[in-house]
Amino acid sequence: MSYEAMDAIHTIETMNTVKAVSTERLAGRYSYLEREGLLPLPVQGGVTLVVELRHAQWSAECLRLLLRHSGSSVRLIAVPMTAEFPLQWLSEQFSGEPNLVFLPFAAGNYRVNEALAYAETSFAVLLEDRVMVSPGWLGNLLWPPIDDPAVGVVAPRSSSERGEGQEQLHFAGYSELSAYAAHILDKRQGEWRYAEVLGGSCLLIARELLLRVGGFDSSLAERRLIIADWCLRARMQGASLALSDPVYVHVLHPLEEGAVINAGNASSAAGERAYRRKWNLQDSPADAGLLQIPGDLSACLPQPVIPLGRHTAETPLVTTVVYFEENWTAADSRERQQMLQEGQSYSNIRWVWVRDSWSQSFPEFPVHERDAVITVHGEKPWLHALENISALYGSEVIVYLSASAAYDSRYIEKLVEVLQHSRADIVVSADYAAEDPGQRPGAGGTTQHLPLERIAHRSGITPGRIMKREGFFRSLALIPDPDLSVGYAGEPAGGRDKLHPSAPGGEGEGHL
Amino acid sequence: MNYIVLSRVSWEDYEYKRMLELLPDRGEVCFAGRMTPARQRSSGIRSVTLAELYSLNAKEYTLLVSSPYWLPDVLALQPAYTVALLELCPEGEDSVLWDKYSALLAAKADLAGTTSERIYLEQNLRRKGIVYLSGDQPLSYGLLRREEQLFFLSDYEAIWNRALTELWQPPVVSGEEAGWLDIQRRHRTAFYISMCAKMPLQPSVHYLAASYLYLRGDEAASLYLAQSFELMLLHDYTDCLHSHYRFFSAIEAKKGNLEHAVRQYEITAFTAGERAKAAQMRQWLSGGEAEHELLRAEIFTVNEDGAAANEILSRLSGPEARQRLLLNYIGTFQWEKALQLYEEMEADGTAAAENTGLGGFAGIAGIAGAPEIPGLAGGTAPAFEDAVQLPVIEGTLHLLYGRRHDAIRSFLRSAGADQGARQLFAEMADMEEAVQGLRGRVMDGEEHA
Repeated sequence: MSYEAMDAIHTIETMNTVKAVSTERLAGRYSYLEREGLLPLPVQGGVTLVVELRHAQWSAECLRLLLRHSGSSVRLIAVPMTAEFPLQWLSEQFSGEPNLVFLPFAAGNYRVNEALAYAETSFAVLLEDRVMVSPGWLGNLLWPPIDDPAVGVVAPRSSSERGEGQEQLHFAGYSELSAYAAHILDKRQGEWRYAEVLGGSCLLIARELLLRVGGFDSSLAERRLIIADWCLRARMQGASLALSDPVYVHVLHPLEEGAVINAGNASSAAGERAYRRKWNLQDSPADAGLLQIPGDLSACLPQPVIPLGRHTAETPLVTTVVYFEENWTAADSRERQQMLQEGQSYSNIRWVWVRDSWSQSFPEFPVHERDAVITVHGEKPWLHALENISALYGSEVIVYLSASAAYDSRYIEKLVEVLQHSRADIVVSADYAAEDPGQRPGAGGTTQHLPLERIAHRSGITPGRIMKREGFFRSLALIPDPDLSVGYAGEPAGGRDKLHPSAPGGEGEGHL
Repeated sequence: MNYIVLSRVSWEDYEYKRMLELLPDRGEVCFAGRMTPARQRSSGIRSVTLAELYSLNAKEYTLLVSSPYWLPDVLALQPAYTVALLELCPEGEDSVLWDKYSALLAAKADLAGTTSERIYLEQNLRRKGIVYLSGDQPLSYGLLRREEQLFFLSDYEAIWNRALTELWQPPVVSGEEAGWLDIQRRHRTAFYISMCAKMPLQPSVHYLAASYLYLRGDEAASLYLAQSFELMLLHDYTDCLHSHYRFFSAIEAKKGNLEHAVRQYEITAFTAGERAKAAQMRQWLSGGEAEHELLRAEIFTVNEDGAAANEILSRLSGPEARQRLLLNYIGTFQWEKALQLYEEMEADGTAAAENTGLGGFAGIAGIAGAPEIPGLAGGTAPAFEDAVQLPVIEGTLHLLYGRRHDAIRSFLRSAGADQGARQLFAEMADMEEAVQGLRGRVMDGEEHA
């Protein structure tokens, strides 16, 4: 070995030492900035915190700590979960707080989804009012999605989290808690792990994922099931879940909860049953109270999307399938999309845009909230996708629209109303009859070719076969499944929409 | 709410400092004893002398008493509420004296708390207002803010907080099922059931699980008791018929299976007295509803569950029931109630000495030198069999209320001029000495009359 080489090795060693010192120093500086609350959140536009209010005795303290330790760019939306919650008493304590709004309780309306729909920031946190946070909690929770963009959901460690994320601790007071939280932040800085499912009191969610997955399923009654269900749906959308190691939030427990010997009451048992049914899990008495999840999510059927936003049972979700039969330009298709979306009076619509990859007419246009774009390759898969929309997207009603057809503003609203008041499985808009009088079906038993752009049907059925029609300007037709009843709705005499239900087998169709 | 702390020890050694931080609706807090000005400032607690204590309007205060030798002051002050912090007999104290006056303090208190699970269980068999001031849950069950400080509450602290608050703010819907007493019993039950899974061969863990299940009225108690009994036999502890097997009779009585209950008691009845009781039980079993209630009360009494027995007996009106209630009041140290009931019985002519058995001789349970009132888990003496003579009760109460001459008269009346009187006077002197010793210790050099 020459002396020169030894010099070079010495230089490298010195550089490595300097680098190590420098990294350590930088880490120290970072910790200092974090400890002092001088670091901004690692995200543009801040974060929306949606707080579920259930515990009046703790909620004010929870909100105070959130406002104090989450930075100035957060917005809080607090949602009472029961009619009895003393919202006025609480809101009066925070009357001068510009970053905090309250959504009053509305019976039958799970307003958490509405609050999440209001979140315009790229991340939202859903948490209970029994969560007590300490400095640095939010900033550190945001790192996993930055480290790995596939991560769309992150939970901190807490006593209410499941599995590895569960940490059962008691602190005499806040100073003890914050000392512990700071110690763990420092010790486990940067660490996180993937999780199969999360179920605790605090959940960070990427808004982009929220819009794809939709809202939380309140029909599952029990919160941990509602959260777990959502996480599983997020995973089915390709998102990863993460558990943050350095972030610990302190969760308080109601006395009654700790006193439960035989877990559960009637409503939580019903929630458990609904959860098992939804995810096709075996009923196992040994696992009562434990959270089961499907072993293989890829084998599970797609779950219906729960709408985000302000919708009640009176406004059922309608999946509106828009298909493009012609090769439109990008500008035209964008304009048409806007016209269709803004032109309909019905408020609770999920728009599903189905396109064939051959078509260049459908560029990457923005999809809102629960909407979706389905891209298929070739005509056969295109038709197949259209036939099976109801299996892919759960909702009360499916409506097919052609991008080339014209619809009045109440078109969807009217079809939904007709379907709600009839026994028919499929409804054909009577506008079609006015356009093509010769095509009205008779009772002759010939195969029906119903124009797809005038069809609506109930959820949970495959309406029939969809095929191309020759000789018509609008070229897709539905040959209804003979077991389904078809009705016709419209205003033939300028009156109200009416419907003749028909018997299965295509007989007895009529117009009322 | 304002509070006065009557401690067993000086402020420096006071064990319940955190509890004082967590007092609900905390207004003024006074500590009867010496504190340095710095400690008063840092704790926000005012030190008061005995003289100052008596100048306060005690009706606006809740007393937190952790020594039974404060009992004369508790009775003299007549506070808004009395809260007893019950402790096992400390080293250096006369345990007989301590246990007797602790039991009297507990019976007098509106609420009692203890860090001893044994005392907790014993008190559960005597009263309702008792909190176990310890726990095994590693979680926080509440919070409390006092000025700039935020405290998190453990399970028992949250329960204690709720129990204290309910002294002056009773819940709108009362009911044992939803109340803090049942919540804590359920916490303890869940803990012992989990312990049974971890220690399947440990009889005492199963016995404690059975005890808590019994207190909650849960029929699963018999399963755990059976397991405990079998484990006792496996470990060659064959003298567990009284302590373990008899307990089955209480569980059966709670279920309403009186026939089973009597049969199980009979198996454990060996002495002449016990066999006589068993015969009486058989007789009641063939009687009507009132006799069945007497029988249930008797089964609970022989199982030391005075609280359950008193609840039944206080609903019944016959002379037999009242006599048994009188005995049970004495056995559970509710002596003022006992005297009041005796006066009522005297008025209606059912209080003859031969009826009550209390007029002619001195019992032993309530005076110095007697064996302690047995606990739930292992006492061998049957409960309440050796009742205290009423004049002794009367004399003790006179003594506690500061009526020394009346006390001496009562003691003389109960014992005549024989050896018993000397014993009673010795106890009186011991009590007075203990009170003076306590004041000297806590007030740290303050002079006392």
